[in-house]
Amino acid sequence: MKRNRFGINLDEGISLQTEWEFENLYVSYHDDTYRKLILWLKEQSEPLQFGGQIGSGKSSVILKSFKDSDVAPDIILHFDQEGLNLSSGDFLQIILTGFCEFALNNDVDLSSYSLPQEVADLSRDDWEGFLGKLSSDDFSLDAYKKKLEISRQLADNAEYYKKVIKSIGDTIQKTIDHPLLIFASGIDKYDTECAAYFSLQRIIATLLPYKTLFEVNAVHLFHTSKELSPIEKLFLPSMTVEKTEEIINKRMGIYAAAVKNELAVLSKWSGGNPRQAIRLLTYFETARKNRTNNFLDCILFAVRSTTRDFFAFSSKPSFEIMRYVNQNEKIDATEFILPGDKDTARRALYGNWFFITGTTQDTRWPVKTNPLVRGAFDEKIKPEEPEAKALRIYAEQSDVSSTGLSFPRTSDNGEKESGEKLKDFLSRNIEHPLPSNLSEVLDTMAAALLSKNRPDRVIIAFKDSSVVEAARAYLFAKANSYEYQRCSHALIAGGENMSPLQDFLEHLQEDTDIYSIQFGDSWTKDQLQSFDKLRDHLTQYQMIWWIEHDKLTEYLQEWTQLRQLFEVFILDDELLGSLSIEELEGDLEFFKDLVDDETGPEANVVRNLKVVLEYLQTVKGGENG
Amino acid sequence: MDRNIVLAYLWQEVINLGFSPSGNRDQKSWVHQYAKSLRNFWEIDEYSSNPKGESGVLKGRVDSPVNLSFDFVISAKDKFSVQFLSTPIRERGNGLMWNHDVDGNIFNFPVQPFLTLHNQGNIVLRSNLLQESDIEVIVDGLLCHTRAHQHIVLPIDDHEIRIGGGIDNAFLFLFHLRYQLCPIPEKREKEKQRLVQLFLNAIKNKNNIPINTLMAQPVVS
Repeated sequence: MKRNRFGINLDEGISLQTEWEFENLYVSYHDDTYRKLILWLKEQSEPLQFGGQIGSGKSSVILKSFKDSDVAPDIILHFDQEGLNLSSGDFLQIILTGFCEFALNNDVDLSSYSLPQEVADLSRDDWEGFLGKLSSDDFSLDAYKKKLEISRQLADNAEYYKKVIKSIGDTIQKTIDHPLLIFASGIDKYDTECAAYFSLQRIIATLLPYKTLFEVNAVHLFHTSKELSPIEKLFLPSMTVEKTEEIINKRMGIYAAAVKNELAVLSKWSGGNPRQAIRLLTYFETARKNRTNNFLDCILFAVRSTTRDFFAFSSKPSFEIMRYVNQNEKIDATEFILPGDKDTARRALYGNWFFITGTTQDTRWPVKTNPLVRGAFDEKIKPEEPEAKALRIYAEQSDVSSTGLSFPRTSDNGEKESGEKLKDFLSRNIEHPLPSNLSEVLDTMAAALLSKNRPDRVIIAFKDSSVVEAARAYLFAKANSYEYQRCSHALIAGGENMSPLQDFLEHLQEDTDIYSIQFGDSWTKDQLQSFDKLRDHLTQYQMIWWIEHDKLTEYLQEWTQLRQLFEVFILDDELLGSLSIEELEGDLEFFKDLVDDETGPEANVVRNLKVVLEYLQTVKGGENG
Repeated sequence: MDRNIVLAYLWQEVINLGFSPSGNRDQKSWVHQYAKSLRNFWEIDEYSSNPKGESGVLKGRVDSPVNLSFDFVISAKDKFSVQFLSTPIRERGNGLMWNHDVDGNIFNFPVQPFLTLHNQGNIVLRSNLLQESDIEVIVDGLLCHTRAHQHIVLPIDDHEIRIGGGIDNAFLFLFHLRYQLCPIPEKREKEKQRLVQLFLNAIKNKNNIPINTLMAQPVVS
């Protein structure tokens, strides 16, 4: 991603990668945890589970630790990116690929193994061909079937192949002069309740003899299988809000000074979660473009939109557990392992309904309700809650009021306002998020949609399928306003006997800039869950997903991870409400004059605007008639 | 030749080269590429909304993260209006700061006729009188530090923003806003150097300056 050296750098909270990013955007926190991680990398040889909640910055911390310690993993296994159906065969395939690749690149003698012949019907020593079959990027039906076949074969003989993996690992270990370091990434994407996680746990146990860094979610640290439970655990709690304030200040670059007070308020709503802080900032910046907004409106827009993205239509944890967290700000580790607990503590932790704010020497962990969802559980928003207090003080100091919202007042101010409206405001975004018209959707998407430099992803839920084509044409037209961008659309069907993940990955092979995907028919739960694991794989793509409104709840409830990197909109039915024929004609006239070349961006704008205009004229004609 | 006379011709030549698009299509293209260029020049998150052109009038709106925005309406090169707004708009007050209005119908000192009458243009522009330091003076006077200007009090380095109150060319005015509303000192310095070289080379070589070259980005190492 292209970064601004002095100015604003926003994204959807993806992990930092480059030297420049670590130097300019990274904020160090929990130094003790970080020191332990570095020490482990440099001096220890036992496996380690490194865990944190969604968006807590785990991946950035891990990548930074590799740089700072000057210790790079020998093998990186992506359990969230390379599987096709999340079976034990897939997981074995991922590990085998990683081990064999390392062995081949480092001249490790594999002559005593006959995997190419056994698994892929190749000659015994055709390791290159074997790897080609295992990790093929070819999305032909033949290649896909071959991969599935290999996966089935590995699964059917799982115990044998686990032994093979162990043997290859030991052979590698003997030929290198340091403990074999494996980075098992993406385990954090697996909900402890999903079937795939059970298979995954059994397979990754084959990595225990090596110095393996398991990247896990906080919930995995509390809920592990017998095999994984003895492994040392290192936990990355949420940040202080001061640290998230530092992060969003860095993201604003030289412009931070212009919104210093507002950034301080936003950070309070982050709950100490860096990704949540960045999402709030992104929406705050979007809201600033609307000139009828004052700054308080902008903050509220950011809170409302971030809540919608992360929590709307999700399955809520129980009221009891959230009230307990709210009142006690401590939770006992046993809460996470109680049988029948899946609807409460684990779900709440996995879904970021509350944050673990520190570490503990005993079993009582310090926790805090996520400020964005407090309204859904609190009977009354307390005036002393930091985020509510910050909003109230800000409103008083700025001499602004907003959208009929009342803030909880402290009793010494003598006040009548109870904060009920603030509570309603917060809870409404989870149960019934407000729909957006197409112009509002475009305003929010514009930063990414109009430029190739920043690939963001959005989900647009529609109620009336007849508007989808025109809405899509409108967004495609706008996408070409300044840069030439190719847009490609596909309908992907789910359901029994369908392979939507394969179809989807095949669509991503197209050489285009914006991938528009409409989800058709009924997807199975397994198919939806398999998409959830793709989160990090999608960060490089600019995407618009179209989903029927009626299906949205069903989909989003399975996409706890995925929705972290998506903005979610509910599209108003009525395009005429936000697009005027006169305005479109004006745009068309402007761009027609600029068309030099039928393959240029301006020609793309004109073509797509004509589709929208035709649609609107038909609808309007229908209305008049 | 008197230095001031040399500068007077160069002054007009720089305006002709960079800020006098002729014809509807060129003017549309100029404002389109201008709007496009702001995102990278200011290092902000997104492009400005695309300008519009209706019945020969160009309109656009630009938001800047220094909490100052402006709308422009251009009827002709010397008939335009730029409305400055404090953004986001405060609850009390409508946020309008001031309007920069230019009406070419009102008499002003007729610079070009005088220069034409003096008839020294060809001598100045083709002779070895041309110096880099002269172009630097011109770029300063036209864009970077105009003689009459307003400072704006902003949280970001307020003294460096100088809005030229005397600029009566629409395109020059917009372009100077691109420079002035950029709060990044390194960018401003390199931009000034780039513009000096751009105009110097164009005048020396008798070249036009394509719009996309004018709107290009300075290289900050």
